[in-house]
Amino acid sequence: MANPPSGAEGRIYRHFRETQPAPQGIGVMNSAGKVLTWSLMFEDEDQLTAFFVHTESRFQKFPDNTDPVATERFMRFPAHKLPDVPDDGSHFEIPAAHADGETCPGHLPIPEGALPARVFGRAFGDNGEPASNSRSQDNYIEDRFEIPKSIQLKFLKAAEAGGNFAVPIELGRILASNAYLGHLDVNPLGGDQTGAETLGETIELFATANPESPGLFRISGRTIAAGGPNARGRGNDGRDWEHIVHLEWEGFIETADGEYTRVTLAAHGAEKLRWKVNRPAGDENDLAHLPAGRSLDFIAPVRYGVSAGNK
Amino acid sequence: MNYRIIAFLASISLPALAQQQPQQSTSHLFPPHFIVQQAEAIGLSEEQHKKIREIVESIQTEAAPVQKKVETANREMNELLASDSPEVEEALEKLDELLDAERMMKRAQLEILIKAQGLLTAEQVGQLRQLKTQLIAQQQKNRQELEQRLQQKIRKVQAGMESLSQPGEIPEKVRQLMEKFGALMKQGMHDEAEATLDRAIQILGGETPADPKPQASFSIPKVKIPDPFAAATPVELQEKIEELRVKDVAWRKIEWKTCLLEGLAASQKENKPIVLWMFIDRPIDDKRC
Repeated sequence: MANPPSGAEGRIYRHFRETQPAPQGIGVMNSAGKVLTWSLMFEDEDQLTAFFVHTESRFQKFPDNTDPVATERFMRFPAHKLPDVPDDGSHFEIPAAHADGETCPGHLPIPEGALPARVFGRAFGDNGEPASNSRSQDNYIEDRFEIPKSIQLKFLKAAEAGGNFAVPIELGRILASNAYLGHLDVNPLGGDQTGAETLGETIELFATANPESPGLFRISGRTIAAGGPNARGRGNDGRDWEHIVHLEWEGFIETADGEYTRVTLAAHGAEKLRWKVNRPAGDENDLAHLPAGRSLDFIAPVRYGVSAGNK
Repeated sequence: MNYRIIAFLASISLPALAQQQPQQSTSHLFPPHFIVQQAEAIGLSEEQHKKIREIVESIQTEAAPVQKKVETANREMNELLASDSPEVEEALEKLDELLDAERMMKRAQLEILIKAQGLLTAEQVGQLRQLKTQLIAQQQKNRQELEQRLQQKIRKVQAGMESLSQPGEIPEKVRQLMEKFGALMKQGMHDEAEATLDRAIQILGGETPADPKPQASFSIPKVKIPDPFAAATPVELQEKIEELRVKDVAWRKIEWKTCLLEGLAASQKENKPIVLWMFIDRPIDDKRC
């Protein structure tokens, strides 16, 4: 966590930072908030199991603050070990729960007036059936995002003229930057935040008011988003990728009292993703390459659903 | 020529392209990414590839806290010097801190370079030297050609301004484009700078250039796309979206907690260790990673 809060919880987050071998990873902690072991990768699937057996055994020896415990660190468990971080003797006073009004740093705050939305997406095979493996984000994704109040107001302002109107481009961009398969770094509209460069972007969404149901709008149109790595992304780890998502949208936006009450949108289209990592050919051991991931190269029919405000 | 044009032309002389850098002591070594890029040309074995990756990962991990120190010291130094009357002693102390951290980073970088190169055979090192020489020669050639093209285009801009019907009145758009050209050159964005120059030439030639659009360097994937849902109502569409959703996603079967305090309370109550899944230094809630 880049900016840990003050207090006991913040001290534990700082302890993570001081002991972590990298900003991401898997760790095991005892009940006193002390990390027993970190690892970034694992030699193979058997060693992942061995890691949990090993850390369970360490927990039995160091379940709490009774004895000092150094943090073990592995780049790749168990063969590639880094030096331990000795216990600095600190004891964390752990509150039972957050005080009233205190924000939990583990929860992402939702800005006032924003409507939280969920997106589901699936790749389909040539036979028209969805990809069966839903464990990989290149086959199936679930994600969430918010539709800010300002965009809702802009939409309603555009609706005042009546009839058909263009949906504000910002809403289309939010949809296009969340409806994609794969991990965070292949967001075609991710921009500099994810080291991405937009290669192309077409946002053409239209709304039609329903005269029989005030506040109900039918949505249709298309989005095309294409991206690849920018100079920073390439410089980071030599990554090379290309991602093109072409979606035709349909659905509804319901509004009342100057805000969205429900958003139900679906998209169908085609997606191409190529993600190349420097990894020896034929090496299928994903656990030994967790930060880099595995190479991806597919073109697939896709469907997405976006749902906000639905009970 | 009107003095305003003279002053403006003086400001658009070709900014220097990348200057010849003095040879650094590390220039005899090869960065690991260069070695991996040339893997096929030098016959890099999988074992060598794997070891290079391990060296980089290991040293970068060790150096990560030092990198953080460099960033922190840099930021604190900036804040310190931005004050109205910075303390000399404090600034010098911060400078020492920054230089110490930078020295550590350079040590780590040198360690990576030497260890990675140490994995190569003498023949591979020779091949890499040859490839690097060819690459540098190609870069120099490209740079010279770019410089010549840009000089020609700047001359066209100058000629275009001299032939304006109302000398002295540099079109605002051209002025903006030339300022942008200078800025892009300084940033090393030569292709974009050249395109900016082209637009200035078009305007001076009486043309109205279209706004630059990203080159369509991609093509829309061609597959048989699914049929639309064609739902008549929001409720009907929501039902179809629910059908899209996988009901028993593997990762949802684990009851992850995003609140650290809740995790610790459960650990204490059940006398069990806590598994931590950390992603890029921040709580991710249930967003994509």
